[in-house]
Amino acid sequence: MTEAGESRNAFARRLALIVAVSGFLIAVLGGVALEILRVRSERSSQEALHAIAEQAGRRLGSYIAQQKVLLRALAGALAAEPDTNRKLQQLALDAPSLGKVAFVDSRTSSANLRPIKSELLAQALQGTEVSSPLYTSDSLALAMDICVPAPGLPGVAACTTLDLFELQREVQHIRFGETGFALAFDADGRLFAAGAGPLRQAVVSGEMLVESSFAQKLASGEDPPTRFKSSLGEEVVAGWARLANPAWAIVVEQPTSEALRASRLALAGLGAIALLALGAATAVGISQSRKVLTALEIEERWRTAGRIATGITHDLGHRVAVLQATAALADAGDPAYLPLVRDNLREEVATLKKFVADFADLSRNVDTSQFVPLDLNAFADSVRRAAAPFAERAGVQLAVAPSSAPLWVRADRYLLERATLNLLSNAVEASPSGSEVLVDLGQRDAVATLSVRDQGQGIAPDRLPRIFDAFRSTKKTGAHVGMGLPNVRRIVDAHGGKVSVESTPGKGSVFTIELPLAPPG
Amino acid sequence: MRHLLLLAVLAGCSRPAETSKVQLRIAAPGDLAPLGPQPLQSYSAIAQEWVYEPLVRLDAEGSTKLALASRLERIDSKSIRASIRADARFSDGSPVAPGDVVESLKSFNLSAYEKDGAVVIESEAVLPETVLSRAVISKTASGTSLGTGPFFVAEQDASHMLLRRKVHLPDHIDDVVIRSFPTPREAFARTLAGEADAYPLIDSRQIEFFEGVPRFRVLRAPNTNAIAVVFSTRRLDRNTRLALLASLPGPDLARMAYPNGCSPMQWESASFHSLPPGRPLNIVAVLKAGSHVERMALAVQRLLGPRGGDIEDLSYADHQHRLTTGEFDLLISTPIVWPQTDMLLLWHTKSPLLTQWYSNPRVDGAIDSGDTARAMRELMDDPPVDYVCLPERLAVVDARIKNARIGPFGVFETLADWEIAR
Repeated sequence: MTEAGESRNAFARRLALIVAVSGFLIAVLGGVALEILRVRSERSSQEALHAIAEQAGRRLGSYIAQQKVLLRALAGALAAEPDTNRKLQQLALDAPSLGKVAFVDSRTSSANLRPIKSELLAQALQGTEVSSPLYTSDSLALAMDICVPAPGLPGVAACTTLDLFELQREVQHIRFGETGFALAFDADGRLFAAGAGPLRQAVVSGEMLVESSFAQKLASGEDPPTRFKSSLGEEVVAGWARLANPAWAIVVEQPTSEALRASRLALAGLGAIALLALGAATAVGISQSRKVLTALEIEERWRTAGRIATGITHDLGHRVAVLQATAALADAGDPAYLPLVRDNLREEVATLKKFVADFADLSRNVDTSQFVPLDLNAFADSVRRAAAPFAERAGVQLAVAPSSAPLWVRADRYLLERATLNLLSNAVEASPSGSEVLVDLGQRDAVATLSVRDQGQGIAPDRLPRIFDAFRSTKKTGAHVGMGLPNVRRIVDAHGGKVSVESTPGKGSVFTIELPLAPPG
Repeated sequence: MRHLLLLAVLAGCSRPAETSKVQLRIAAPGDLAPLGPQPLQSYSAIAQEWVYEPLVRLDAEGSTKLALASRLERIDSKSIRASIRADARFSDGSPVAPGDVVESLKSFNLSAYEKDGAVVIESEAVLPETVLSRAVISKTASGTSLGTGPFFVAEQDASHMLLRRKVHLPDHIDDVVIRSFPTPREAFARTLAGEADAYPLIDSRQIEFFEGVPRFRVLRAPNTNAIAVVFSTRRLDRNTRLALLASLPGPDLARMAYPNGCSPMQWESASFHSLPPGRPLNIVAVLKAGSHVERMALAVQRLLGPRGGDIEDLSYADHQHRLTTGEFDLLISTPIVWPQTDMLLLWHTKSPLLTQWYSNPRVDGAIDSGDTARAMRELMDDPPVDYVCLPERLAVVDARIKNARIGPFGVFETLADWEIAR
């Protein structure tokens, strides 16, 4: 890889990393912000529900207090009236929730006042206002017994069993949003009023709900949860309130699907915007980096073209100089120069042919569909025979050390041959006369190896990293434009393999082609 | 070989799968009177529509459609000839004979006789076809009252009644169990608790408790009966009754008895008549019929002031007896007001629908001549009743029932046709 290409890739990687890291940071910060928003909106819903629960609790508490006030007023107004019983009967029209009020004194049998208990009655006759806990009457009505002393009439009390039907209706009418509802529990966690229709059966059956245990917690002074899965099986946000007297708990619940709908929509919107922004930033970043990379690539191509032009100009210029000198000898007309002229022309034609052949190889693309099975052992021997005349002229021995087993690969035979011949010719050119160039074949895991060893001068270590770069020939100038090794790499890369070099100055070099094994069939 | 073939065929036949029976449990407040064809002052009356059939039924517009009769011919304004359906059968399988129809109609104070295979029905008052919808056909066999309806009584006592469909119909109700509870409140609570699948004629305040409960569906329909204060024509003279009509304005009574609302009756308020001083007037009612009855009685007592007497609680049987004998001053009742022809016939001296002590020839004459407006004016000029308002009819039924509705006349009249979603 060229130095420019390497720096271009490095730049692209850095740019991609910057965009990714920026995007990640934006996403993290955005997520934190959205989470803070979510928590705040949920808290806001809970606070609203808590406020409603408190208000509902006050209404229920005041309802009971009002009944007691009413009963006290009636006790004071009617206790001494002559037609008390009739007036008490008429109460059903004006205060149906008061139930059947009765005036009692020490002569009244508690049996006549069922279900009001005798101890309640006794306390009231002693001047104490008393009330029972909630209970379910024989007719399955929710009830509470109350007795109040009649003002100004010692030893007389007004007692009744409150029919809390109206109280239950009050709770049922509490609504929050479209789906929010209220539930009311007594001190034991028993549901006595339900705004949610599906739970209303539990009011009558006495079945304990999920919320019952939370209501008991509240009664014992602990904080109940404000988000939980309700008895209806859905996630709800809840606000709780506790009444001191009577010891009831009220909860107003709203399914999160409604409670957090607005904030979820806002969060979704913000999230979508953030994602869009991130996507747009990434897209712009990638687009810009592509432009930069394209510009760099174009610049690199011009530089490459410049180097090619420099190389061609230099080499062709040298060829022109030799041809001019040869032409001058021919012009001299001296027959003694004819052999020199002939030899020069032959040599220059051969050099120019190789020059053209190198460029022809460059223009030929590797087509993997044209690959055929190739046994590298047989292939290496064939290449040795083709290079033998050249090696013999240079006084260098060519040898092949095949592998013990067949080395099948898939390859374009012509191009692979060109690449191998290039390595062989380089090795022969670098080798002193009388030395040997060895083609060594082997296998390492699933890879076949073809190594060309020479015993030449070797390659300076500082040149090894760029040995396969285009137009950086290590040979004498005027002979090559430096396309041979780059072309070898191009061909080997296209075969899915790789080419490498090891060299020791003064001892020689080893060029190794690795190709993936592909046994036939 | 033939035996093998037969065995193979038999082996291939499969018994049809038993489909599970559908039972509907209906909650009812108060004891259940034994079911019979005559009008009942008990919740068991709702079962009459499923066990017995009349010659005709009413549709939603108040017109008649043939039921047990295959054909009706009007002879004159006071007589009708009815042919009976050839396929009509009592629950014991016996065919419906014209003689059975004649005896049934006579028990409803209609005069009837058999002629040429048909039944001729006569009345001393004008006889609209709608009257025939109130006379169900039955016969007694082995001490049991049999009807031609789709259901028959399998078991009954004061606390429950089991009615069974004669012929199974897929996805329809097979058995109806009417369960009695001591009070309307308990009937409501037990239904909400899931111990019943339906509760007819529920109080309007209680209906709120069923709204939003997935298991139930609330049904609403206009009423065919009004709530009214009936005056005893035996004990109270015309002037007193006129004064009572003026002292007990319907809207005021309705407001007190029905805080949730009650449709007003569509006629002019009575002109002023002062209620003369006198003895307190007693008020009788079946208080266990519902809190609205008690509130109505209290409202009457309040509006009468010093003349408002004690409120007496009656049983259903006592209520009917008092109505017939006139042994009361004021009685809270629910007389029919729909169709209007039948409403007026309640007060015709010779009408089969007259159930109480009243006779006014001017009213009779107006009814017989078909002059409804004049009949109403004459009635209000010698009033036996103060119609207060029309409370909505409310019921709750199992939500799985697809086509449940109230009416057109009876509460669950169409129960035999109700389909259950599985």
